[in-house]
Amino acid sequence: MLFQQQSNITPSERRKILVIGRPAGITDVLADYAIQLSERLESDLFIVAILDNMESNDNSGVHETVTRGPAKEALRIFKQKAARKNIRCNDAIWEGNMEKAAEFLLQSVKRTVFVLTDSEYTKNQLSEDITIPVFSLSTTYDLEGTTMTRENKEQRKSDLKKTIGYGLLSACLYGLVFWKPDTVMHYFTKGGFYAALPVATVIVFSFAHGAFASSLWSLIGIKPLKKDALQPADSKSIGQSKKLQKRPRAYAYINPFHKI
Amino acid sequence: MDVTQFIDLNIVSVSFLFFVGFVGGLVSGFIGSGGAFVLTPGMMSLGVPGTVAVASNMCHKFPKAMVGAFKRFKYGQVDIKLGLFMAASAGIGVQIGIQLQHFILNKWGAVGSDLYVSLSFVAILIVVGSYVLYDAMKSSASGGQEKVSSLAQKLQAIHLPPMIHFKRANITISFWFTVPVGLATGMLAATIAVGGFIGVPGMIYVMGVSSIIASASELVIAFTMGLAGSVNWAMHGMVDIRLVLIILGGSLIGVQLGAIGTTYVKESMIKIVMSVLMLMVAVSRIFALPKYLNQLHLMSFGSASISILEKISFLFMCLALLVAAAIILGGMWKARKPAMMLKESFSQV
Repeated sequence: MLFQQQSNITPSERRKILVIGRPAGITDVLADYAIQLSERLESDLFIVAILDNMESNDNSGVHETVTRGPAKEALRIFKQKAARKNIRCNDAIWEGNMEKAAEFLLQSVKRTVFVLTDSEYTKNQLSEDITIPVFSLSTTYDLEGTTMTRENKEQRKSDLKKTIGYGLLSACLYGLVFWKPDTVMHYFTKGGFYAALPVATVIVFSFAHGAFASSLWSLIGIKPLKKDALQPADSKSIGQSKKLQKRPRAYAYINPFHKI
Repeated sequence: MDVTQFIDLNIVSVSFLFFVGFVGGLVSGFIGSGGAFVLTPGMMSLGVPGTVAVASNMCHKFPKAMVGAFKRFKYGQVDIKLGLFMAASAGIGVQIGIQLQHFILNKWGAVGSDLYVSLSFVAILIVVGSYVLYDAMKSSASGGQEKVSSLAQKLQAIHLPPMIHFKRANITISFWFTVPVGLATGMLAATIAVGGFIGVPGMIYVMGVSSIIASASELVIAFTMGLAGSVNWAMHGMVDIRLVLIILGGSLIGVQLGAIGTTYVKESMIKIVMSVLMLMVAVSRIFALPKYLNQLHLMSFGSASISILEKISFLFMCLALLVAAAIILGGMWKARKPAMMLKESFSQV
């Protein structure tokens, strides 16, 4: 485990917000929100980039030199933004296990009031190990111009693959029909049982081309914003959770014939 | 059937069909119907025979509705049971509508039939469209929140067995009150090919379903009826698969955008788009009326004026579709704006 620190951790009277970023870097949304929040709460910031997928080469503890390029760059931008608002900000890169990072940081960084992260996964991992509140920041809007998170990049990659794959399939199907249109038209307009041909064709096309269109919109970034009309499903799940929450109760039983 | 009666395709016709498919799909995905009324005359203007245009339009409609319904089902907006109940009675409504058309055709001939179609088109679209627009304005003024109509509340309170509960729509209503709405939807579909113009307002104001769920469930009705109609037309060999696939190319992209759009906007926006579309289409049909009145010798117009009026009517129909699409995209853009402002305010920190 290697803990690298750019600034010394100086215990201070001011409260701190611990911001934990993911290996891919700290998103703009998280950085902006954390800075705005610390300004309002008049607190300091402590930003940590967790690199839990890298092997550490020694156990020497705190180091002055940071070699992890992207994380270092993200922290530099974060600190610059904070400095513009006159917010005191310490930063660190943690290589290794996230739970241990949280444990160590909360011991070292005094007066941490809560932890802010942009990943639900990180929040869930941390919530099990630490006692102070952990908040995760998420947005329903796909803001343009923000640093893309790893999930977004993966989603985009998957959308691109699907768009190309289904696009090629759709193009092949169109090619098949328009390659010899006269023959196709001859059989497709025969009527009777041949009616199955056009009907089946449009169904096959709607699957291939529909999947292509869906992934195309997703790739462009046009995605649904909210899910409407979920009232019946919601009330059902609330009902179920109420049922689960019902605890067994202890009842006192008084024997009226006691000592008779 | 001989292949020669189907048109040759060129880059202009392909682009036109793809674009109309896209815009029609966008509107359908958002309000549950629409687009079909432009496609049939649009294909006919390219030289496609009337029956082939109707058949091909229907054959593109059901997979588009299927994809739209699936997408909106994922957003929790579709009441499948409601859609299937309505589709069953709408199927009967279509048969009644066809019989009525035959009756009028036998009594007053083709011109009388056309006049009946146009008049019912104009009357229904103006009456229902005006009311939907009035209601949409009212709910927009009160913050976009919908209220269940007093008629729907009264009908829901009447316990006339069998009572049916629609879980997603969260309503319980007598089966007998769902039937007239379904029948009217089917009759309108048989007459003017867009049943949703009465189906969606019917579900909202008569049954008390929210406009989001009504427009999404309308896609189930459109799929069921479109599938049955397509099989019927395909058995007669009337479907031009090339036209269908080109339109589908655009409409499957559009219908998903329309479905996504419903998650961006307030519920009253669906009513606004629908009412504007209905009223504009009604105006376009008014331009087509002189032709039939001329043929019935009730009025006299020159053939040049009739031809110009027909063109104006078609262009106005295209404009109606474009305006509806612009309102949807504008609404989505507006809803996205707060997110951008949020981002800007953070960036200034």
